[in-house]
Amino acid sequence: MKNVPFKYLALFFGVQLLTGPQAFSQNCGISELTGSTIRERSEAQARAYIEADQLALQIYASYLSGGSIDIKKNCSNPIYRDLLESSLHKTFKAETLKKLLVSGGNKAEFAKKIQKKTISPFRLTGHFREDSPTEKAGGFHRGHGSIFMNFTKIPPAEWEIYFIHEFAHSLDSELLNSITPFANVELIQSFYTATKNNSWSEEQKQQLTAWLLHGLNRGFLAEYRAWTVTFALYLEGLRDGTFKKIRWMDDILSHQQPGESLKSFILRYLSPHFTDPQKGPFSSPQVQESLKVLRQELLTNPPPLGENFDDLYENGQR
Amino acid sequence: MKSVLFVALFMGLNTNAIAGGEGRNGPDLQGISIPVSMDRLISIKKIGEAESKCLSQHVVGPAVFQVSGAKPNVLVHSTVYRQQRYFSVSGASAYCSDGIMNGQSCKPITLSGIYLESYSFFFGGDHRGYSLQIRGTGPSYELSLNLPVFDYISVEDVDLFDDLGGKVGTALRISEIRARGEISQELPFINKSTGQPTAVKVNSEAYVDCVAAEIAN
Repeated sequence: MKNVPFKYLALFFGVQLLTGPQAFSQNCGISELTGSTIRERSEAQARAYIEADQLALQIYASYLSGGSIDIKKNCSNPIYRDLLESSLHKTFKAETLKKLLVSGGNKAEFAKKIQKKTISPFRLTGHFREDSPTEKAGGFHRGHGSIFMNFTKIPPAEWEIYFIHEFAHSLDSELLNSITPFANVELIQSFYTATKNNSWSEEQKQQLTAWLLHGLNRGFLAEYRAWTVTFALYLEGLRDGTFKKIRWMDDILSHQQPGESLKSFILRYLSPHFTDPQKGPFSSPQVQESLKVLRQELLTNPPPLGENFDDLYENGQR
Repeated sequence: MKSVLFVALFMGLNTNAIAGGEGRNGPDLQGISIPVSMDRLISIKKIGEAESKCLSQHVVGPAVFQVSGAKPNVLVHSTVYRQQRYFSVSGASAYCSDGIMNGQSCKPITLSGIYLESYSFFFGGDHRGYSLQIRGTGPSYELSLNLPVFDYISVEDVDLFDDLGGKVGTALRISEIRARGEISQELPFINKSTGQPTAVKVNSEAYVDCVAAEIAN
């Protein structure tokens, strides 16, 4: 895990951005829900959603520019807090997609692929509740395809980069297609038996290689694909002015050799940082050796990035 | 024995592993080449909780407020059941009696021309749709709502067992989530007897976004 130089542990947004005279009261700055008739209350309810969306938009803009106010202290009424929270999830995702779409090129194509998915479970964390499922700044869940991003752990200048990276995982067909075959209990049991008897048939060796590839597709190769896409879009964004330079990304790119393709470089760069497991079936010398050979072959011939990324990558190399 | 334990953990047949937050890829520049921990699945219970919370927050709560003026903490009781590939949640009720509803003040309303101090709400739904009943002493209304219903396209079902082998539920790996129905910022309830849209409206777009965000928690 990269060390994020983080100075955004508290959420601070600019008071001056807030609307209404009661700016950021316990109602989070949203007008009181009230009315004397059904129609008036219906209009008040609709207005509250609009105000929550406007507020979320201001918070998003303020986050990106580094403003300040502690929204946790000024948003205590749960009805209004829930309204704002819902708007925050939606707004951060929608506005980021909008920015990528407007930027054009492969970034826009990437955003269109995200939009094609009917529903992409996405959760913004770091506000109101400390509810991030892990300590990481973001994560993609292989089991149900959901994404969380903790914006208090992501420097504003790097928000889109993290966004691209997490959504790249969600578009990674190789990753998603490898989960079920990797969890083949009968196959794993047969590897245990072969290890115990020290007897591997040729078919089992082939099955082992395929199984290990599925495993790598869930881990090391998933990061290879996501980082290759992330760096490719970062470089495009630098060229067209969408992104500013990010030191740690440039430091990594400085290791790319002349003439080396981006995906070859990313694979080579990441490889020594990803160690092989040693427990369970991976304690078998046959499994360890097969994994070592497989990883060496992959280094020599970087695998395709998959149906959603190959076109983006090839376009970016032209 | 060691191998059996590993396989059990590996396949996720362990509730502790389900709750452990494993199964994620993140912005990693280093790690284990093959994550051996299970790919955490989502339980039916979790889906029910997500839908219940969002129904309460974006559908039932706003509807009750618009009719009664009260902003009670309405909780949808999550009775989750499975029918083929989708799930539905049903069951919420609130009673306005003596001007109080779940600790919040509620206003008298007029139903079918009759002024009512006391009345009740019943909200329910299944995969065919949702409805809100408003009952008074004598008159009643039944309003229907074409709220989006979620399809959780499952690629894998796994029974979950506790450490003593007891079945504690079923979990899914989901390949895709779809919402069927009208996604709108102002979706009106329809009066069932007249077919007319009412002034009571909910934000079904916010409801869908909410479920997506809750599942991602």
